[in-house]
Amino acid sequence: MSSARAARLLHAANPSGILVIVAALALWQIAVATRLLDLRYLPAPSEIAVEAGALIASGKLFVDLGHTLGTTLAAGAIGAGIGIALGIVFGLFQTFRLYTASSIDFFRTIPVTALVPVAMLIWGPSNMSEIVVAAYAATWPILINTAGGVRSIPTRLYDVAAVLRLNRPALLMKVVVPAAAQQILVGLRLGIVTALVLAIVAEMLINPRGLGWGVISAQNALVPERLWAYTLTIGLLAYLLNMFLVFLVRIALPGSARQMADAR
Amino acid sequence: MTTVTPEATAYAVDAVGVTLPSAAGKLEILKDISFTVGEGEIVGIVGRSGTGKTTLLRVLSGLLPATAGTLTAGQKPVAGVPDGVVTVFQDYGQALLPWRTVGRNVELGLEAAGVPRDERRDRADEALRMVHLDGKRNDYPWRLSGGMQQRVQIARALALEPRILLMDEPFGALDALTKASLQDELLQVQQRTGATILFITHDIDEAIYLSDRVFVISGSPGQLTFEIAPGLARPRNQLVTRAEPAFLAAREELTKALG
Repeated sequence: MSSARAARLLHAANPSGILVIVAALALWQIAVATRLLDLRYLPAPSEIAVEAGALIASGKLFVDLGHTLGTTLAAGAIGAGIGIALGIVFGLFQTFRLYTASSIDFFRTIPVTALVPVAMLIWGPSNMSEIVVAAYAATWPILINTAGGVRSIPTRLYDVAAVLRLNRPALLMKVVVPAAAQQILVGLRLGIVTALVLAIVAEMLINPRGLGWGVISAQNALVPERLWAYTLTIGLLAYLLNMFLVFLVRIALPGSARQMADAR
Repeated sequence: MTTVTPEATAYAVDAVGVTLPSAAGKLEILKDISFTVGEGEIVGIVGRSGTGKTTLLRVLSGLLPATAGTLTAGQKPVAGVPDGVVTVFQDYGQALLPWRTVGRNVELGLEAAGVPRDERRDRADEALRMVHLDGKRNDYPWRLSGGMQQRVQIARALALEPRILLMDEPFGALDALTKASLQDELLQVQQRTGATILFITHDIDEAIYLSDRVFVISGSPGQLTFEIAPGLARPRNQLVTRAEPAFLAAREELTKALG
Protein backbone atom coordinates (compact mmCIF):
# COMPACT_ATOMS: atom_id res chain seq x y z
CA MET A 1 0.00 0.00 0.00
CA SER A 2 1.38 3.40 -0.94
CA SER A 3 1.75 5.94 1.84
CA ALA A 4 -0.69 8.29 0.07
CA ARG A 5 -3.31 5.57 0.05
CA ALA A 6 -2.65 4.79 3.71
CA ALA A 7 -3.06 8.47 4.56
CA ARG A 8 -6.35 8.54 2.66
CA LEU A 9 -7.65 5.48 4.50
CA LEU A 10 -6.64 6.98 7.82
CA HIS A 11 -8.42 10.16 6.86
CA ALA A 12 -11.53 8.20 5.86
CA ALA A 13 -11.45 6.33 9.17
CA ASN A 14 -11.31 9.71 10.90
CA PRO A 15 -9.24 8.89 14.04
CA SER A 16 -10.21 12.10 15.87
CA GLY A 17 -13.89 11.26 15.42
CA ILE A 18 -13.40 7.72 16.73
CA LEU A 19 -11.45 9.05 19.70
CA VAL A 20 -14.47 11.12 20.78
CA ILE A 21 -16.74 8.08 20.61
CA VAL A 22 -14.32 5.95 22.62
CA ALA A 23 -13.97 8.71 25.21
CA ALA A 24 -17.74 9.07 25.52
CA LEU A 25 -18.16 5.30 26.03
CA ALA A 26 -15.42 5.35 28.65
CA LEU A 27 -17.06 8.23 30.51
CA TRP A 28 -20.40 6.43 30.36
CA GLN A 29 -18.79 3.25 31.72
CA ILE A 30 -17.08 5.11 34.57
CA ALA A 31 -20.19 7.12 35.44
CA VAL A 32 -22.34 4.01 35.76
CA ALA A 33 -19.66 1.88 37.51
CA THR A 34 -18.99 4.56 40.14
CA ARG A 35 -22.72 5.10 40.60
CA LEU A 36 -22.20 8.73 39.66
CA LEU A 37 -25.03 8.11 37.25
CA ASP A 38 -27.49 5.81 38.96
CA LEU A 39 -30.56 5.28 36.80
CA ARG A 40 -32.41 2.05 37.21
CA TYR A 41 -32.61 1.23 33.51
CA LEU A 42 -29.33 2.65 32.28
CA PRO A 43 -26.81 -0.17 31.87
CA ALA A 44 -23.07 0.29 31.47
CA PRO A 45 -21.56 -0.15 27.99
CA SER A 46 -19.84 -3.33 29.16
CA GLU A 47 -23.21 -4.87 30.08
CA ILE A 48 -24.63 -3.87 26.69
CA ALA A 49 -21.62 -5.47 25.02
CA VAL A 50 -22.15 -8.73 26.88
CA GLU A 51 -25.81 -8.79 25.87
CA ALA A 52 -24.95 -7.93 22.26
CA GLY A 53 -22.43 -10.76 22.28
CA ALA A 54 -25.13 -13.18 23.41
CA LEU A 55 -27.52 -11.92 20.72
CA ILE A 56 -24.85 -12.36 18.08
CA ALA A 57 -23.91 -15.83 19.35
CA SER A 58 -27.54 -17.00 19.25
CA GLY A 59 -27.86 -15.64 15.71
CA LYS A 60 -30.98 -13.68 16.66
CA LEU A 61 -29.44 -10.29 15.95
CA PHE A 62 -28.55 -11.33 12.40
CA VAL A 63 -32.01 -12.69 11.72
CA ASP A 64 -33.55 -9.38 12.86
CA LEU A 65 -30.93 -7.35 11.01
CA GLY A 66 -31.54 -9.42 7.86
CA HIS A 67 -35.28 -8.82 8.08
CA THR A 68 -34.96 -5.05 8.49
CA LEU A 69 -32.27 -4.67 5.85
CA GLY A 70 -34.13 -6.90 3.39
CA THR A 71 -37.35 -4.95 3.87
CA THR A 72 -35.49 -1.66 3.48
CA LEU A 73 -33.85 -2.72 0.23
CA ALA A 74 -37.04 -4.20 -1.21
CA ALA A 75 -38.96 -1.05 -0.30
CA GLY A 76 -36.16 1.08 -1.74
CA ALA A 77 -36.31 -0.86 -5.00
CA ILE A 78 -40.09 -0.45 -5.26
CA GLY A 79 -39.80 3.24 -4.40
CA ALA A 80 -37.07 3.62 -7.00
CA GLY A 81 -39.14 1.99 -9.72
CA ILE A 82 -42.20 4.11 -9.07
CA GLY A 83 -40.34 7.29 -8.12
CA ILE A 84 -37.99 7.33 -11.10
CA ALA A 85 -40.71 6.50 -13.63
CA LEU A 86 -43.19 9.04 -12.28
CA GLY A 87 -40.45 11.58 -11.68
CA ILE A 88 -39.37 11.44 -15.32
CA VAL A 89 -42.96 11.78 -16.55
CA PHE A 90 -43.55 14.60 -14.06
CA GLY A 91 -40.36 16.36 -15.12
CA LEU A 92 -41.00 15.99 -18.85
CA PHE A 93 -44.69 16.74 -19.27
CA GLN A 94 -46.17 20.02 -18.19
CA THR A 95 -49.73 18.75 -18.57
CA PHE A 96 -49.03 15.85 -16.22
CA ARG A 97 -47.49 18.32 -13.75
CA LEU A 98 -50.53 20.56 -13.98
CA TYR A 99 -52.88 17.72 -13.02
CA THR A 100 -50.77 15.96 -10.42
CA ALA A 101 -48.64 18.59 -8.65
CA SER A 102 -51.24 19.30 -5.94
CA SER A 103 -51.90 15.63 -5.20
CA ILE A 104 -48.18 14.88 -5.04
CA ASP A 105 -47.56 17.79 -2.70
CA PHE A 106 -50.39 16.64 -0.46
CA PHE A 107 -49.41 12.98 -0.29
CA ARG A 108 -45.71 13.59 0.13
CA THR A 109 -46.18 15.99 3.02
CA ILE A 110 -48.39 13.67 5.09
CA PRO A 111 -46.07 12.38 7.82
CA VAL A 112 -45.77 8.74 6.77
CA THR A 113 -45.96 7.59 10.39
CA ALA A 114 -49.60 8.72 10.33
CA LEU A 115 -50.23 6.19 7.57
CA VAL A 116 -48.81 3.23 9.54
CA PRO A 117 -52.20 2.50 11.22
CA VAL A 118 -53.86 2.67 7.79
CA ALA A 119 -51.54 -0.07 6.52
CA MET A 120 -52.23 -2.05 9.69
CA LEU A 121 -55.97 -2.00 9.05
CA ILE A 122 -55.62 -2.96 5.40
CA TRP A 123 -52.86 -5.58 5.46
CA GLY A 124 -52.69 -6.52 9.12
CA PRO A 125 -49.49 -7.19 11.09
CA SER A 126 -47.57 -8.47 8.08
CA ASN A 127 -44.41 -7.96 6.04
CA MET A 128 -46.72 -6.56 3.38
CA SER A 129 -47.74 -3.68 5.64
CA GLU A 130 -44.15 -2.95 6.49
CA ILE A 131 -42.97 -2.98 2.86
CA VAL A 132 -45.87 -0.83 1.68
CA VAL A 133 -45.21 1.82 4.33
CA ALA A 134 -41.46 1.86 3.72
CA ALA A 135 -41.85 1.85 -0.08
CA TYR A 136 -44.38 4.69 0.12
CA ALA A 137 -41.95 6.73 2.17
CA ALA A 138 -39.05 5.97 -0.18
CA THR A 139 -41.00 6.96 -3.30
CA TRP A 140 -41.34 10.69 -2.60
CA PRO A 141 -37.74 11.81 -2.24
CA ILE A 142 -36.87 9.72 -5.32
CA LEU A 143 -39.77 11.15 -7.33
CA ILE A 144 -39.10 14.75 -6.31
CA ASN A 145 -35.38 14.57 -6.99
CA THR A 146 -35.84 12.79 -10.32
CA ALA A 147 -38.40 15.36 -11.44
CA GLY A 148 -36.10 18.19 -10.36
CA GLY A 149 -33.19 16.64 -12.22
CA VAL A 150 -35.24 16.22 -15.38
CA ARG A 151 -36.65 19.74 -15.23
CA SER A 152 -33.21 21.27 -14.85
CA ILE A 153 -31.98 19.75 -18.13
CA PRO A 154 -31.08 22.69 -20.41
CA THR A 155 -33.65 23.00 -23.21
CA ARG A 156 -30.72 23.20 -25.61
CA LEU A 157 -30.14 19.47 -25.11
CA TYR A 158 -33.61 18.78 -26.51
CA ASP A 159 -32.72 20.87 -29.58
CA VAL A 160 -29.52 18.88 -29.92
CA ALA A 161 -31.40 15.60 -29.66
CA ALA A 162 -33.84 16.79 -32.33
CA VAL A 163 -31.22 17.97 -34.84
CA LEU A 164 -29.29 14.73 -34.34
CA ARG A 165 -32.55 12.89 -34.98
CA LEU A 166 -32.75 10.92 -31.73
CA ASN A 167 -36.05 9.08 -31.41
CA ARG A 168 -37.99 9.10 -28.14
CA PRO A 169 -36.38 6.06 -26.49
CA ALA A 170 -32.93 7.36 -27.47
CA LEU A 171 -33.79 10.81 -26.12
CA LEU A 172 -34.82 9.21 -22.83
CA MET A 173 -31.89 6.82 -22.43
CA LYS A 174 -29.09 8.86 -23.98
CA VAL A 175 -30.03 12.36 -22.85
CA VAL A 176 -32.73 12.63 -20.17
CA VAL A 177 -31.67 9.86 -17.78
CA PRO A 178 -27.92 10.55 -17.85
CA ALA A 179 -28.51 14.31 -17.58
CA ALA A 180 -30.65 13.76 -14.48
CA ALA A 181 -28.53 10.89 -13.08
CA GLN A 182 -26.81 12.90 -10.40
CA GLN A 183 -30.08 14.05 -8.86
CA ILE A 184 -31.76 10.67 -9.31
CA LEU A 185 -28.95 9.12 -7.28
CA VAL A 186 -29.31 11.74 -4.55
CA GLY A 187 -33.02 10.87 -4.42
CA LEU A 188 -32.22 7.15 -4.21
CA ARG A 189 -29.93 7.69 -1.25
CA LEU A 190 -32.51 9.77 0.62
CA GLY A 191 -35.26 7.32 -0.32
CA ILE A 192 -33.47 4.24 0.97
CA VAL A 193 -32.51 5.90 4.27
CA THR A 194 -36.15 7.00 4.66
CA ALA A 195 -37.29 3.44 3.92
CA LEU A 196 -35.10 2.19 6.79
CA VAL A 197 -36.64 4.66 9.23
CA LEU A 198 -40.17 3.66 8.26
CA ALA A 199 -39.37 -0.06 8.27
CA ILE A 200 -38.29 0.28 11.90
CA VAL A 201 -41.35 2.34 12.82
CA ALA A 202 -43.58 -0.28 11.19
CA GLU A 203 -41.78 -3.07 13.06
CA MET A 204 -42.35 -1.21 16.31
CA LEU A 205 -46.01 -0.53 15.69
CA ILE A 206 -47.46 -3.26 13.47
CA ASN A 207 -45.14 -5.98 12.25
CA PRO A 208 -43.48 -7.82 15.17
CA ARG A 209 -40.22 -8.67 13.42
CA GLY A 210 -36.80 -7.17 12.83
CA LEU A 211 -34.72 -4.67 14.75
CA GLY A 212 -37.65 -2.36 15.53
CA TRP A 213 -39.51 -5.18 17.23
CA GLY A 214 -36.30 -6.13 19.03
CA VAL A 215 -36.22 -2.70 20.66
CA ILE A 216 -39.89 -2.80 21.64
CA SER A 217 -39.86 -6.34 23.02
CA ALA A 218 -36.75 -5.57 25.09
CA GLN A 219 -38.49 -2.50 26.44
CA ASN A 220 -41.59 -4.52 27.30
CA ALA A 221 -39.46 -7.20 28.97
CA LEU A 222 -37.60 -4.53 30.96
CA VAL A 223 -34.21 -5.70 29.67
CA PRO A 224 -32.37 -2.42 29.04
CA GLU A 225 -29.11 -4.13 27.93
CA ARG A 226 -30.94 -5.79 25.07
CA LEU A 227 -32.82 -2.59 24.23
CA TRP A 228 -29.54 -0.72 23.96
CA ALA A 229 -27.95 -3.48 21.91
CA TYR A 230 -30.79 -3.23 19.38
CA THR A 231 -30.84 0.56 19.37
CA LEU A 232 -27.11 0.77 18.77
CA THR A 233 -27.38 -1.87 16.02
CA ILE A 234 -30.03 0.27 14.30
CA GLY A 235 -27.76 3.30 14.57
CA LEU A 236 -24.83 1.38 13.15
CA LEU A 237 -26.96 -0.03 10.32
CA ALA A 238 -28.24 3.42 9.35
CA TYR A 239 -24.73 4.84 9.46
CA LEU A 240 -23.21 2.06 7.35
CA LEU A 241 -26.11 2.04 4.89
CA ASN A 242 -25.79 5.77 4.35
CA MET A 243 -22.03 5.50 3.93
CA PHE A 244 -22.42 2.64 1.48
CA LEU A 245 -24.99 4.59 -0.54
CA VAL A 246 -22.77 7.67 -0.67
CA PHE A 247 -20.01 5.43 -1.98
CA LEU A 248 -22.37 3.77 -4.46
CA VAL A 249 -23.62 7.13 -5.74
CA ARG A 250 -20.03 8.21 -6.28
CA ILE A 251 -19.08 5.19 -8.34
CA ALA A 252 -22.39 5.07 -10.21
CA LEU A 253 -22.15 8.68 -11.40
CA PRO A 254 -21.46 9.10 -15.09
CA GLY A 255 -17.71 9.53 -15.61
CA SER A 256 -17.64 13.26 -16.07
CA ALA A 257 -19.83 14.10 -13.10
CA ARG A 258 -17.55 12.02 -10.91
CA GLN A 259 -14.49 13.75 -12.27
CA MET A 260 -16.17 17.10 -11.77
CA ALA A 261 -17.02 16.18 -8.19
CA ASP A 262 -13.46 15.01 -7.59
CA ALA A 263 -12.01 18.17 -9.12
CA ARG A 264 -13.86 20.29 -6.59
CA MET B 1 -21.51 33.60 -57.00
CA THR B 2 -23.15 30.25 -57.57
CA THR B 3 -25.77 30.07 -60.24
CA VAL B 4 -28.87 28.57 -58.70
CA THR B 5 -30.67 26.02 -60.83
CA PRO B 6 -33.68 24.09 -59.50
CA GLU B 7 -31.80 20.75 -59.37
CA ALA B 8 -29.09 22.27 -57.20
CA THR B 9 -31.26 24.11 -54.73
CA ALA B 10 -30.42 23.40 -51.11
CA TYR B 11 -33.14 25.64 -49.70
CA ALA B 12 -36.13 27.29 -51.31
CA VAL B 13 -37.88 29.65 -48.95
CA ASP B 14 -41.04 31.32 -50.20
CA ALA B 15 -42.98 33.98 -48.30
CA VAL B 16 -42.20 32.38 -44.94
CA GLY B 17 -43.55 34.06 -41.84
CA VAL B 18 -43.58 33.17 -38.17
CA THR B 19 -46.17 34.39 -35.71
CA LEU B 20 -45.96 33.14 -32.16
CA PRO B 21 -48.31 33.53 -29.21
CA SER B 22 -46.90 35.82 -26.53
CA ALA B 23 -48.02 37.47 -23.32
CA ALA B 24 -49.13 40.51 -25.33
CA GLY B 25 -51.19 38.58 -27.89
CA LYS B 26 -49.82 37.29 -31.16
CA LEU B 27 -46.33 38.40 -32.03
CA GLU B 28 -45.19 38.45 -35.64
CA ILE B 29 -41.48 37.66 -35.63
CA LEU B 30 -40.70 37.04 -39.29
CA LYS B 31 -42.60 38.26 -42.33
CA ASP B 32 -42.51 37.38 -45.99
CA ILE B 33 -39.02 35.89 -46.13
CA SER B 34 -38.10 34.53 -49.57
CA PHE B 35 -34.77 33.29 -50.87
CA THR B 36 -33.08 30.30 -52.43
CA VAL B 37 -29.72 28.85 -51.54
CA GLY B 38 -27.75 26.74 -53.99
CA GLU B 39 -25.97 23.55 -53.06
CA GLY B 40 -22.47 24.18 -51.80
CA GLU B 41 -23.17 27.84 -51.22
CA ILE B 42 -22.13 29.65 -48.04
CA VAL B 43 -24.68 32.21 -46.89
CA GLY B 44 -24.27 34.50 -43.91
CA ILE B 45 -27.26 36.14 -42.27
CA VAL B 46 -26.67 39.35 -40.33
CA GLY B 47 -29.04 41.60 -38.46
CA ARG B 48 -29.46 43.45 -35.21
CA SER B 49 -30.62 41.66 -32.07
CA GLY B 50 -34.30 40.86 -31.96
CA THR B 51 -34.88 40.76 -35.70
CA GLY B 52 -35.68 37.06 -35.71
CA LYS B 53 -32.42 35.64 -37.08
CA THR B 54 -32.40 32.76 -34.61
CA THR B 55 -36.10 32.13 -35.29
CA LEU B 56 -35.33 31.90 -39.02
CA LEU B 57 -32.57 29.38 -38.37
CA ARG B 58 -34.89 27.33 -36.15
CA VAL B 59 -37.42 27.28 -38.98
CA LEU B 60 -34.74 26.20 -41.49
CA SER B 61 -33.50 23.50 -39.11
CA GLY B 62 -36.99 22.09 -38.66
CA LEU B 63 -37.12 22.84 -34.93
CA LEU B 64 -39.90 25.39 -35.35
CA PRO B 65 -42.67 25.21 -37.97
CA ALA B 66 -43.27 28.28 -40.12
CA THR B 67 -46.75 29.72 -39.69
CA ALA B 68 -46.89 31.12 -43.23
CA GLY B 69 -45.32 30.38 -46.61
CA THR B 70 -43.55 27.31 -47.94
CA LEU B 71 -40.13 25.95 -47.32
CA THR B 72 -38.21 23.13 -48.95
CA ALA B 73 -34.84 21.64 -48.09
CA GLY B 74 -33.30 19.54 -50.88
CA GLN B 75 -36.60 19.79 -52.84
CA LYS B 76 -38.59 18.27 -49.97
CA PRO B 77 -41.01 20.28 -47.84
CA VAL B 78 -39.64 20.88 -44.36
CA ALA B 79 -41.66 19.09 -41.67
CA GLY B 80 -39.49 18.33 -38.67
CA VAL B 81 -35.73 18.12 -38.96
CA PRO B 82 -34.97 17.55 -42.68
CA ASP B 83 -32.71 14.76 -43.92
CA GLY B 84 -29.10 15.83 -44.27
CA VAL B 85 -29.52 19.04 -42.26
CA VAL B 86 -27.60 19.49 -39.00
CA THR B 87 -27.56 22.57 -36.78
CA VAL B 88 -24.66 23.85 -34.68
CA PHE B 89 -25.59 26.09 -31.76
CA GLN B 90 -23.78 29.05 -30.28
CA ASP B 91 -23.79 27.80 -26.69
CA TYR B 92 -21.45 24.85 -27.02
CA GLY B 93 -21.35 24.58 -23.20
CA GLN B 94 -25.02 23.62 -23.17
CA ALA B 95 -25.06 21.77 -26.48
CA LEU B 96 -22.43 19.17 -25.56
CA LEU B 97 -23.27 16.28 -23.23
CA PRO B 98 -20.92 16.74 -20.25
CA TRP B 99 -21.14 13.07 -19.21
CA ARG B 100 -19.90 11.89 -22.60
CA THR B 101 -16.34 12.08 -23.81
CA VAL B 102 -15.53 14.09 -26.92
CA GLY B 103 -15.60 10.94 -29.04
CA ARG B 104 -18.93 9.78 -27.63
CA ASN B 105 -20.42 13.24 -28.13
CA VAL B 106 -19.42 13.10 -31.78
CA GLU B 107 -20.91 9.61 -32.08
CA LEU B 108 -24.30 10.60 -30.65
CA GLY B 109 -25.96 11.35 -33.99
CA LEU B 110 -24.44 8.21 -35.50
CA GLU B 111 -25.85 6.10 -32.65
CA ALA B 112 -29.28 7.52 -33.35
CA ALA B 113 -28.85 6.65 -37.02
CA GLY B 114 -28.03 3.05 -36.09
CA VAL B 115 -24.47 3.13 -37.44
CA PRO B 116 -22.50 0.07 -36.18
CA ARG B 117 -19.94 0.70 -33.48
CA ASP B 118 -16.75 0.31 -35.55
CA GLU B 119 -17.98 2.55 -38.31
CA ARG B 120 -19.15 5.08 -35.71
CA ARG B 121 -15.69 5.20 -34.27
CA ASP B 122 -14.05 5.67 -37.67
CA ARG B 123 -16.43 8.41 -38.71
CA ALA B 124 -16.07 10.22 -35.39
CA ASP B 125 -12.28 10.06 -35.68
CA GLU B 126 -12.46 11.39 -39.23
CA ALA B 127 -14.72 14.26 -38.14
CA LEU B 128 -12.42 15.09 -35.23
CA ARG B 129 -9.43 15.12 -37.62
CA MET B 130 -11.24 17.62 -39.83
CA VAL B 131 -11.48 20.08 -36.93
CA HIS B 132 -7.96 19.25 -35.70
CA LEU B 133 -9.10 17.58 -32.51
CA ASP B 134 -7.64 14.13 -33.05
CA GLY B 135 -6.14 13.06 -29.75
CA LYS B 136 -8.94 14.62 -27.71
CA ARG B 137 -11.38 11.74 -28.24
CA ASN B 138 -11.19 10.50 -24.65
CA ASP B 139 -11.30 13.89 -22.93
CA TYR B 140 -14.44 15.32 -21.44
CA PRO B 141 -15.65 18.43 -23.27
CA TRP B 142 -15.68 20.63 -20.17
CA ARG B 143 -11.94 20.08 -19.85
CA LEU B 144 -11.40 21.77 -23.22
CA SER B 145 -11.20 25.46 -24.14
CA GLY B 146 -14.24 27.19 -25.63
CA GLY B 147 -12.80 27.04 -29.12
CA MET B 148 -12.16 23.31 -28.81
CA GLN B 149 -15.65 22.71 -27.44
CA GLN B 150 -17.17 24.46 -30.43
CA ARG B 151 -14.96 22.32 -32.68
CA VAL B 152 -16.41 19.24 -30.97
CA GLN B 153 -19.91 20.44 -31.78
CA ILE B 154 -18.93 21.07 -35.40
CA ALA B 155 -17.33 17.61 -35.58
CA ARG B 156 -20.53 16.09 -34.18
CA ALA B 157 -22.42 17.69 -37.06
CA LEU B 158 -19.78 16.70 -39.65
CA ALA B 159 -19.84 13.07 -38.54
CA LEU B 160 -23.35 12.86 -39.96
CA GLU B 161 -21.98 14.02 -43.33
CA PRO B 162 -24.66 16.70 -43.68
CA ARG B 163 -25.47 18.24 -47.03
CA ILE B 164 -26.56 21.38 -45.23
CA LEU B 165 -24.94 22.82 -42.12
CA LEU B 166 -26.84 25.47 -40.18
CA MET B 167 -24.96 27.49 -37.59
CA ASP B 168 -26.39 29.95 -35.09
CA GLU B 169 -23.67 32.47 -34.25
CA PRO B 170 -21.17 29.64 -34.14
CA PHE B 171 -18.15 31.74 -33.17
CA GLY B 172 -19.97 34.48 -31.26
CA ALA B 173 -18.70 33.43 -27.86
CA LEU B 174 -15.05 33.03 -28.87
CA ASP B 175 -12.07 35.37 -28.73
CA ALA B 176 -10.83 37.02 -31.94
CA LEU B 177 -7.86 34.72 -32.59
CA THR B 178 -9.80 31.51 -31.98
CA LYS B 179 -12.58 32.89 -34.13
CA ALA B 180 -10.21 33.54 -37.04
CA SER B 181 -8.74 30.05 -36.98
CA LEU B 182 -12.18 28.44 -36.74
CA GLN B 183 -13.38 30.53 -39.68
CA ASP B 184 -10.53 29.20 -41.80
CA GLU B 185 -11.17 25.64 -40.63
CA LEU B 186 -14.81 25.98 -41.56
CA LEU B 187 -13.86 27.11 -45.07
CA GLN B 188 -11.50 24.14 -45.43
CA VAL B 189 -14.18 21.75 -44.24
CA GLN B 190 -16.68 23.23 -46.66
CA GLN B 191 -14.22 22.87 -49.51
CA ARG B 192 -13.66 19.21 -48.63
CA THR B 193 -17.27 18.25 -48.08
CA GLY B 194 -19.07 20.58 -50.48
CA ALA B 195 -21.74 21.13 -47.84
CA THR B 196 -24.10 24.07 -48.03
CA ILE B 197 -23.63 26.38 -45.04
CA LEU B 198 -26.07 28.92 -43.67
CA PHE B 199 -24.95 30.77 -40.61
CA ILE B 200 -26.04 33.65 -38.44
CA THR B 201 -23.61 36.20 -37.12
CA HIS B 202 -23.46 39.59 -35.44
CA ASP B 203 -20.11 40.18 -37.03
CA ILE B 204 -20.32 41.86 -40.46
CA ASP B 205 -16.66 41.12 -41.24
CA GLU B 206 -17.15 37.44 -40.44
CA ALA B 207 -20.19 37.30 -42.71
CA ILE B 208 -18.28 38.84 -45.63
CA TYR B 209 -15.16 36.77 -45.04
CA LEU B 210 -16.96 33.43 -45.06
CA SER B 211 -19.91 33.91 -47.38
CA ASP B 212 -20.73 33.74 -51.05
CA ARG B 213 -23.78 35.85 -50.22
CA VAL B 214 -24.76 37.85 -47.16
CA PHE B 215 -28.40 38.49 -46.22
CA VAL B 216 -29.55 41.30 -43.97
CA ILE B 217 -32.61 40.84 -41.81
CA SER B 218 -34.05 43.94 -40.19
CA GLY B 219 -37.18 45.40 -38.76
CA SER B 220 -39.84 44.03 -36.49
CA PRO B 221 -41.22 41.70 -37.78
CA GLY B 222 -37.93 40.76 -39.37
CA GLN B 223 -37.75 40.93 -43.14
CA LEU B 224 -35.03 40.20 -45.63
CA THR B 225 -34.06 43.75 -46.59
CA PHE B 226 -30.70 43.44 -48.34
CA GLU B 227 -28.53 40.91 -50.07
CA ILE B 228 -24.98 41.15 -51.35
CA ALA B 229 -22.54 38.80 -53.06
CA PRO B 230 -19.10 40.13 -52.16
CA GLY B 231 -17.34 38.00 -54.81
CA LEU B 232 -14.10 37.53 -52.89
CA ALA B 233 -11.26 35.39 -54.22
CA ARG B 234 -10.65 31.90 -52.81
CA PRO B 235 -8.89 30.60 -50.88
CA ARG B 236 -9.54 33.32 -48.35
CA ASN B 237 -6.78 34.70 -46.22
CA GLN B 238 -7.35 36.53 -42.96
CA LEU B 239 -4.97 39.36 -43.92
CA VAL B 240 -5.24 39.56 -47.71
CA THR B 241 -8.98 38.97 -48.07
CA ARG B 242 -9.91 41.47 -45.40
CA ALA B 243 -7.90 44.14 -47.26
CA GLU B 244 -9.47 43.46 -50.67
CA PRO B 245 -11.41 46.40 -52.13
CA ALA B 246 -14.42 44.10 -52.63
CA PHE B 247 -14.33 43.23 -48.91
CA LEU B 248 -14.27 46.88 -47.91
CA ALA B 249 -17.02 47.77 -50.37
CA ALA B 250 -19.23 44.97 -49.06
CA ARG B 251 -18.59 46.08 -45.51
CA GLU B 252 -19.62 49.63 -46.34
CA GLU B 253 -22.82 48.52 -48.05
CA LEU B 254 -23.74 46.13 -45.24
CA THR B 255 -23.06 48.75 -42.58
CA LYS B 256 -25.39 51.12 -44.42
CA ALA B 257 -28.00 48.41 -44.85
CA LEU B 258 -27.94 47.67 -41.13
CA GLY B 259 -28.45 51.39 -40.49
